[in-house]
Amino acid sequence: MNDFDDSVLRDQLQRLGGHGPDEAGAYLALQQRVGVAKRRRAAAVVGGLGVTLMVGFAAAAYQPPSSSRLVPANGGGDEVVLTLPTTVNNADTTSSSTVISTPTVNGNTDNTDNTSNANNPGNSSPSTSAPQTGTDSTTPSPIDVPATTAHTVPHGHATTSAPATTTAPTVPATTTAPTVPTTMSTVPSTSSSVPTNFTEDASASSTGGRATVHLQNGVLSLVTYSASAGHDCVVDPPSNRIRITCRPTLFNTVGNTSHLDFSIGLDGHLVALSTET
Amino acid sequence: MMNDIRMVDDLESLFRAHHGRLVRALTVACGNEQIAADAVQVAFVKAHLKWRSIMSYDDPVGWIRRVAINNMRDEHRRESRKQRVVDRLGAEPEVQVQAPQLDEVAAMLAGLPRQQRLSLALFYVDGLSVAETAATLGISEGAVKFHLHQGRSTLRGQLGEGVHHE
Repeated sequence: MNDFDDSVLRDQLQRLGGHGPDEAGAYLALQQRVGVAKRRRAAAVVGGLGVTLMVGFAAAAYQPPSSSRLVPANGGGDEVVLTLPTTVNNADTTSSSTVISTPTVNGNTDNTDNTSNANNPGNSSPSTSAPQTGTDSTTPSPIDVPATTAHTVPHGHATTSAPATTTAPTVPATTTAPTVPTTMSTVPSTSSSVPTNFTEDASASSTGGRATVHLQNGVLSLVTYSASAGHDCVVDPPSNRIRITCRPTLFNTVGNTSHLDFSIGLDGHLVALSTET
Repeated sequence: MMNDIRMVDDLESLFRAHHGRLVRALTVACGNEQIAADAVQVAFVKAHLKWRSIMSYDDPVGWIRRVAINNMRDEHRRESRKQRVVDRLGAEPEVQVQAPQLDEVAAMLAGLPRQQRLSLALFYVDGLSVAETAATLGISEGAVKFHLHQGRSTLRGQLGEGVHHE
C-alpha cells in the first residue's frame, strides 16, 4: 500500500468527490424507499397467492366430461338386463321391418345373421330382432301383436333352458346411438319437445323369454316374443307401455316369474327393462 | 421486536458510517454525484430488505459496495443504450446539465479507463486496501496494482505539467 500512497492525489480525488450528501436526509429517503419496496413486495405476494388460489379453484371445479357417467345401481338382487335401441331408421319404416335374425334355439342366440343389411345399406348396426314376417309396421296400433308372431321356441321343444347370460350380449350402446331426427312431431304421450318421428327396435330377454318391440312415431308395437323352455308368456293389456310376463309352467319348479317392460323414455327412445321376481 | 430494532440500529449505524464515503468514491468513479447517490441508496434499500441474511456476512459493507457499483454500471449501460437510440433516430440529444465540478482533475479522470477510475476511487477516496479493492472489483490484486500505477502515473504527470505551467 505504501507504494501507492500519494497524499496529493488523495486530496485531489477526495476534493473531487465533494462533501457528500446530507446523511439525515439520505436516511429518510432510504426509509421511504424501503417502505415502498415492502409494500410492493407485499402486493406481489398477495397477488401471487390470489392467482394461485384462483387457479386451484378452477382446477378443482373442472370436471372432465368422461368422468360424469351414470352407473346403474347394483342393489336388490334382481337381475336387470337393459338393452339399448338397436335399429334406427329415419328414412323408410318398411325397409327396417325386414330385420331378421336367427331366433333363440337351445339357449343360443345367433346375432350374426342379419340379412336385412343387404336391403338396407344405411343400417350398419346389427340387430337382434326376432323374425318379423308379415308384420306391417307402417300402420301400427298402439299395442300391435301380429297374428303371425312366431313362437319360435315352442313349449317343451327346447332341450335346455335359456340362461339369462346367453341373451345379454347385445349391440353395444356406443354403436347404436340413435340420431336425432330433424323434424319434430307432437305425440300425446310424450312431451312436444321430444322427437318421436323415428323408428326404433328394442329387445329384452330374461330367463322366462325374450321379446322385441318396435317404436314408430311414438307408438309402441310388439314385434315378437318367445318363451323359454318351461315358461309361458302373457302380454298385458294395451297401455302406453308393453309388459310381457313370463311365468314358469306347472312342471317347472325352479323357474322364476319375469317381466319384460318396454316404454318410451323421456328422451323419446325405447326403454327396455327386464326384472325377475 | 427487540431484534428488529437492533437490526435497524445496526443498519442505520452502518449507513451513517459508510454512506457518504461510498457516494464520494462512486462520484469520482462515474463523474456524476446524482447517479452515484442513487446507486448507493438502492444498494442500501436491498440491504435493508435482506438484512437478516446480509448481517451474517463477513463483510456486509463489501456486499453493499459491490451492489452499488453494479447499480452504477447498470445505470451507465442504460444511459449508453438511450444515447444510442437517440443517435439512431437522429433526434436532438438531451441537453446534459453537467455539474460544474469538471475541473482539471475531473477532466483527466474522465479520460481514464473505467476500471482505473474505479480502482483509484476505491483506493484513494473510499480508503480500501489493494486486497479489498481487488475483492470488490472481482479482479486480482496484481490487476489492481497495475490500474493504480497506470492511473496515478497519468494523473500525476498531467497534474505536474499543470502545476509546472502555473
